[in-house]
Amino acid sequence: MMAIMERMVHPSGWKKTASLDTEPNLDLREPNMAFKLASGEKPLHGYVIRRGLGIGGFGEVYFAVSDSGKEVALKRIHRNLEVEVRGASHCLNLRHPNLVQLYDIRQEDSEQAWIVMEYVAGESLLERLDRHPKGLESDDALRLFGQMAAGVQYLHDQGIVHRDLKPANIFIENDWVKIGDYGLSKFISASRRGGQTESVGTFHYMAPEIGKGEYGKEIDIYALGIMLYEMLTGKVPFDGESSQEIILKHLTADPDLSRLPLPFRSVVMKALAKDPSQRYTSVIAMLEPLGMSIDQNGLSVFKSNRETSQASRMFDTPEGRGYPDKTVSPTPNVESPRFYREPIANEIAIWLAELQTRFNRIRYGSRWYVLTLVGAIFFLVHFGPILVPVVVMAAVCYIPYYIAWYLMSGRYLPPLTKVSRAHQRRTPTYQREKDSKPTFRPSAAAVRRPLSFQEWQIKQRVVLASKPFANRWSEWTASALLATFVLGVLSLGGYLTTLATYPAWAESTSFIAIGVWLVSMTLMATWTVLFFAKRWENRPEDSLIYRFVMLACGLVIGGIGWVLSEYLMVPWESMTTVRFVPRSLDWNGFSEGQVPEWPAFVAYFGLLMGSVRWWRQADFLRRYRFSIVSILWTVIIAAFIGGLVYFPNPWCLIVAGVTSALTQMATQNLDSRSRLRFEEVVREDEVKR
Amino acid sequence: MDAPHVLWIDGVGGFATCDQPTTTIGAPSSSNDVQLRILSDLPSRAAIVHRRGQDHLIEPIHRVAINGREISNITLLSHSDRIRLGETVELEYSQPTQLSGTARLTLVSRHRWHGAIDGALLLGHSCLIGPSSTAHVRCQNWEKDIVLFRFQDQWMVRRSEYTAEGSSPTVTTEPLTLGKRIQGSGFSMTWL
Repeated sequence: MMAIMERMVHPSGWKKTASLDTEPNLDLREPNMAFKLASGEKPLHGYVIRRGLGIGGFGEVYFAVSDSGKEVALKRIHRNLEVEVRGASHCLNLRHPNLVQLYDIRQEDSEQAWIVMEYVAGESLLERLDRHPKGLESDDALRLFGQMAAGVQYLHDQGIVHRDLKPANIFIENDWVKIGDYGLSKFISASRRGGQTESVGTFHYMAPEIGKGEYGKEIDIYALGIMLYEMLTGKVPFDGESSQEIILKHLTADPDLSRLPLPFRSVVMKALAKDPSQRYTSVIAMLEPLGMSIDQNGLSVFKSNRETSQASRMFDTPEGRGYPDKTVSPTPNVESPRFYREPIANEIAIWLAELQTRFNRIRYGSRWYVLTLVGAIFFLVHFGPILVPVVVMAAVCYIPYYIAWYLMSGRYLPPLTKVSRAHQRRTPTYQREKDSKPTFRPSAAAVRRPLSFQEWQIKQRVVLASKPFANRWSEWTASALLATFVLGVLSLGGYLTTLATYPAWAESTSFIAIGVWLVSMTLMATWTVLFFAKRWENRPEDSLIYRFVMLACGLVIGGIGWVLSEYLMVPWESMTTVRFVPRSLDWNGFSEGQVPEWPAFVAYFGLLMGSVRWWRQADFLRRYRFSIVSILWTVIIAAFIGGLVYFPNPWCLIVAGVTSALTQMATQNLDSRSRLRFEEVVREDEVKR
Repeated sequence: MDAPHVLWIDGVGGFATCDQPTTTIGAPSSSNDVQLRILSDLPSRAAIVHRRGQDHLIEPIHRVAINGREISNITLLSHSDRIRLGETVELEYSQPTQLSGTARLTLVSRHRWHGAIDGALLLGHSCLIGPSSTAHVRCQNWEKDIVLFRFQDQWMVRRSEYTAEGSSPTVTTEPLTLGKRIQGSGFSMTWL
């Protein structure tokens, strides 16, 4: 479990300058300051420390002045020394106007090393965003973003992935952007210094695949996408009350792009694709739709004056410069429900947005503009009669597909915690955490409390969310095969026992027919339960939707059961041993006499699947590996439903009971040792907060 | 008059502490008369700030404009005033609370202070440093404010800290000594 958490606890940014304005500066993403060295000390020959700048996961950073008056930042490295020094030395001779320059690495003893680097006197992007809670002007954002992208592109050209791009690592001095903190290994800090405030601030920019340990340059593209979104809107696309919630959103949620103007919308959408291979392959490709590129000197430029003016025109609004959504609804305090985008619609939306962006970049009134328009009109007139029915047909097919997708995917994600959404939107996570805390921090013992099973499950599901689809699929296949094998053994055992006890009956066709029917129905029900339990193991339970899906599956299984029964000619009349239907009732809507009709099959299996919370019996996070109580409870419900719809006994009970036992037998649950370890770590985490 | 001492606050910034009744602002020069030096094309003496009780007044020596209006006489400064010195240097004067008589000068134009400081404190009889909105230097991630105050020609530091769970905060008062580091829960600073 902790693999993902540990990977995601990164050192925070190190730069922190004074809060010199009257507006609140909400920089609490910094850890508590605990600098080892005081002003005036000379830890490195030739440099006097003026003050501490910040603390990262690998050491402190100081502002120092050399004997000759050169201002520098000194980063003290005392953890993971060899790896950090090696990483930094690779970057020592990199030179780009948008990177904080490294001057030297000095290792005076085996315990610690110092990186001497450029001191940037300006503010960080984090501080600038704090001063502009509704986002920067789009022109400013574009200009800063271009410079950030140029710096990152240079790093990528050198084969370096930054891996920790975030506003705290971007510095702005006289409108020049400088990226800092590159070339470090991003050694995973096990200390969780600064507790939640540090971690949460960092989680906002982490690509989903980081949880799996993938550190390609796509994670920088993802972080750039997040920062572009934040610069334009003033808020990060994925925020939450806890680190788990944020990670879950990175893994599953789609960003709300409605507040971004068009060219930015498609760029952010593509940069934030969950699958790294779906993102831009390079930073240059990301700049291209924004009308920018990187020149031969490695600096970001608008591609031409004409395009600059057009790019700017896209942001013009009747109310003045700025983007329309921001002026129309400056304070969208009510959070619309987040629906997660269906893949086909997503692709079409990206395609249309790109098409529109390309069209917008054609100069108004030019030859190409007229040609494009004429071409489009000709195409529509010529192919319209064919296109319209095709589009209508596609739409008709799409609607049931979408409903099925929506129900099956269970992608409507309820909030994990019931907090005021308005408060959550307006207040940064780190500030909320401060709000909710008393000034005095209680001791570790005071906050220790056991983790409830439900809390444990919610936290654990976040981790399961990172499990690749292929793994889940293979686990389901393994469970289904195991269930089939066990059922095969059980059937063979049952047959041999019957053969030994009642040989005549065992050899009769009616016994074979009911046997095949029972095995088939049990297998179908078991596979269905296993499939959905695996499908839903990574998200918070939504009982109503799950029941509905299971009910729908039950109806289908019931239908198949009836067809099978007819095909096998199961002699129900002679095989029903226990019955609730008075013989006087010839036909009651479900069955005729003792022979169940198709409504009985459909109703029985539909209700059985919809009433019992089957997915819990096969849940990886269930409390007990094998629960007799669950089986008994399932059988009682089955008996009740069987009685209700006049389904013959004991067969209905056998199907239900065996399915319950098989699903539990064929699926594993998290062993208690892992659970205890997890609880311990989570408690430690909470204590440190 | 010597250059003012600087309060180096870790994680926050360095602030020149001007506790004399007058403070001269200008460009760096060999003269000892200028306390606040800005790396710029200003003359060595551009303006003088006088402290009168809880207020500050600015006396122009070179071209000085307040909120865009050029002044020729001594002028009273108010909270959030923009002071332009010469053509391009621009400062912001802020006095979050008037009672203390302390104000802060911050550069808002693309210039830098001599000595790599981040601002200047024109000290009255007390100065507040910490997370509160009335602090002269805002340190957002500190737990509580600390107070600098004058006591018999000596600057003192008063701070309160919780030492144990459930206890009331302990108030500590100690002299602000040059070169001595003041350190508490989540903060540290040195006066040099």
